[in-house]
Amino acid sequence: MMRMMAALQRTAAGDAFTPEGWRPGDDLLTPPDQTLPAALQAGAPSDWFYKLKKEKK
Amino acid sequence: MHDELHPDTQRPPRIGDIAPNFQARSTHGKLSLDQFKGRWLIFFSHPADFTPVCTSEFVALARAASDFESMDCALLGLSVDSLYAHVAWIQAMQEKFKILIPFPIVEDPSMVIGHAYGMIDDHSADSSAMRASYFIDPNGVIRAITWYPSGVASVR
Repeated sequence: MMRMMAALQRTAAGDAFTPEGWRPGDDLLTPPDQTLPAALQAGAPSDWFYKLKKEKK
Repeated sequence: MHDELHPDTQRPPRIGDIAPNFQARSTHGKLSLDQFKGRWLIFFSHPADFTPVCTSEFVALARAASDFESMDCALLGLSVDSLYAHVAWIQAMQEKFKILIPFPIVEDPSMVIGHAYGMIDDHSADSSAMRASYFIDPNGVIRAITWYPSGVASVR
């Protein structure tokens, strides 16, 4: 329940999702940019739908 | 009419109910839910293929597949996406994470299964099935249900 509450609070602003196994302080998932130009600009083809980012300290 | 005092007569299944049977196309061919009888089964929906949280969950489930196997527990995924999307997504995950999703993923383009399980209903904002998991015993009885929002991965 604490992990769920922490995940809900962390994702409430909409700037990040919490991946499987997430604990507070762990890396987060970036919400994908939903336009084709942005998807094409991502590094590897799969980067547009799966990209981790560091939690800001 | 749906209201608090007169709820829909067909309510979503709850703990203790028999899991509604269905036949559908999956990435492993046509299947029906009752063919899993005799084993434990975790049947889970995800909002959409190619979304980050679902991807993290599916990769984790694939990595834990042998653990579930040793518990004699089958895994079965579902989303409203078509088989074509499922296949492309599995290919993308195999390329990126070097792991193959070993369990079948059912397609539900008409959302008939999602409706039967209450993953989506007439009041839903869109067609994304919620992140629901049904833990079904060898007799086909639902023993636990978990629901998670789209932005938070469920606990493995």
